[in-house]
Amino acid sequence: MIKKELIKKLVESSLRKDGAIDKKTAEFVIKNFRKRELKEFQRQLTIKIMEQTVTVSYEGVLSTSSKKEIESIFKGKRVNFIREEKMGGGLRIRANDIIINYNIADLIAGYVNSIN
Amino acid sequence: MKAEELLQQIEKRLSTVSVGAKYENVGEVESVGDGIVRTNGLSKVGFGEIVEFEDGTKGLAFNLEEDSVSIILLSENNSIKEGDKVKSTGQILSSIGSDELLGRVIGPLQNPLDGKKLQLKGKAYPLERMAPGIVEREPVDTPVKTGIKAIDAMIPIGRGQRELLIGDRNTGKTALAIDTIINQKKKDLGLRQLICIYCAIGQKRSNIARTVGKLQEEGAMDYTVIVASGASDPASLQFLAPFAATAMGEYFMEKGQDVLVVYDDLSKHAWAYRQLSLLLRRPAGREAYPGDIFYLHSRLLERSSRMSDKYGGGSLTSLPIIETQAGDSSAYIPTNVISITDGQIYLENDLFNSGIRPAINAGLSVSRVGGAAQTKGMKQVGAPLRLELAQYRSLAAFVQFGSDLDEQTRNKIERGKRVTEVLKQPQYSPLDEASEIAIIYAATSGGLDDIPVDRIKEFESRFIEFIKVKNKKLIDVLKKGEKLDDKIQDELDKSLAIFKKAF
Repeated sequence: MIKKELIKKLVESSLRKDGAIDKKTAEFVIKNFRKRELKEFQRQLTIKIMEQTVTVSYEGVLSTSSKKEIESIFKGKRVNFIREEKMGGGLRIRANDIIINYNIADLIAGYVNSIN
Repeated sequence: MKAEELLQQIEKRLSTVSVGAKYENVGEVESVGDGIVRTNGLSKVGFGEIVEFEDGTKGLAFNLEEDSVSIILLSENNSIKEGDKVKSTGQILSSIGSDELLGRVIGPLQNPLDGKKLQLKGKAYPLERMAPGIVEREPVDTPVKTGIKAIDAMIPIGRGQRELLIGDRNTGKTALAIDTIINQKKKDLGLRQLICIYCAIGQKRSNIARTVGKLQEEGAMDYTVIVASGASDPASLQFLAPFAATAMGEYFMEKGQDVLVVYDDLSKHAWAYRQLSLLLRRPAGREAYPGDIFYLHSRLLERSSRMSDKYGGGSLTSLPIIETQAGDSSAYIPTNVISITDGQIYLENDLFNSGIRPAINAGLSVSRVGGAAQTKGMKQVGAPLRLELAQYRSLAAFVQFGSDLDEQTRNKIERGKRVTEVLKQPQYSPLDEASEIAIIYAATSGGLDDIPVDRIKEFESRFIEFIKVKNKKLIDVLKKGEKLDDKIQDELDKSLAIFKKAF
């Protein structure tokens, strides 16, 4: 079993900024890694992708300037903009394991929770 | 509730809801099994923080690793599966302190177990809390009257003390604790009411029900709270039960009241913690217990204290119970708890089987601070008791050679037999201070030497009854626990002589 730290280093060095993985590394891993090592590789890869990705959900229209402003906040990370229905306006930003809720749907859910 | 009132309450509630952006720290379930969930994410979660799963199940963050968090689940019924979302709540586990708790049977998470509703309002007391510092404390000086002659005379317990009850199974450990709770009804010596918290850990539900029934029957539930986590409950709840009981006790202590917490028992608590630790893949140490098992019990029992008047003047007394295997008090957990507590009451199987109940081994039992809490009267009659017993035990082996013994030795043995008989006491019949002093004085002063051993018990009950009726003045003096001066001793001797004539 290859050590977790080594797998982690391999993931860090092979993951490109656009979210794709280096082809040579991918082939090496699939060819040589055992099941447990593959599982750990997959786990570390998921964690790394999560760390590098920011997802912004919104309903309706989000202006290009707003998008650029958001992108400038999360410099060095890939920002995905996703249109989501039933949010009732506002935004939901997920950066790694932090979720920032600033939308009507979540606000109402908070009210309902509070009343309950 | 009227519709207007409801609307007002809703409005009030909504006015406090913030409309700003909300932050959530989330994670994803990687594996689940045996009450343990491993998640990724949750990088901002704190140790001991409550987390909430998608299905509403709550858990406790217990292992914070580099890229994963292990959570212990607080309930068994859940539908958590791999990939489920989990979020932190920013809250730590706490118990709400309230007088409503008195007379109730509740779980470690304050869920009622007695079939009645429980709505608690008040300050939340964290389950894990730093023990009071030395500045906030005061020396132990007030007794916890157990009503058990052997304990009150030889191994006295003070308010704020930690006294361990240790012994094999079925030697009467729980019985001693229950008797102590029952005895608090008397408010002996004019002491303040002692609030009792009985914490059952890993016991059969039938046993817990029996204990509750007995306390109800004796009218002790008015000042008692039962915190129960049965053998069928998850290990996480068994682990939390004593901490919850202590947190509830701290509420009463902060109010300036005196509290007694019985942990029945910490052996099972250690098992529950070992189970959790092994499932969390923490390194196992001696007897497979984790390395911090000592710290687990020391940080729990360190919270027992007698607070100074400046800090409310309350107290929290602990009676932890440890079950030994085949009388082995040198095992890992017993030695740990012995070294943490301020003394131990050692119960022996052989004594129990030979009819000496409570089966207290006076030689191995000790109270390190309780002496300061004893009344002068009790101290005076209790001092020769230990000596009489020790001498009797060392000479008892020669009993079989009866005829060859010199008179002095024979007398010592005869006295020892009577003292042993006097210290026997049936379950659920604790005595008040005056009765204890009177009968112990009679035994140690030689007043019972001419009474046949098999009639000692009868003599005791009738003598106590006699002085209670015929010499109320003497009882009133003894009740105060004052020193037995020559006058009181003469009075006691006189009563003894008059009663013996009629006996």
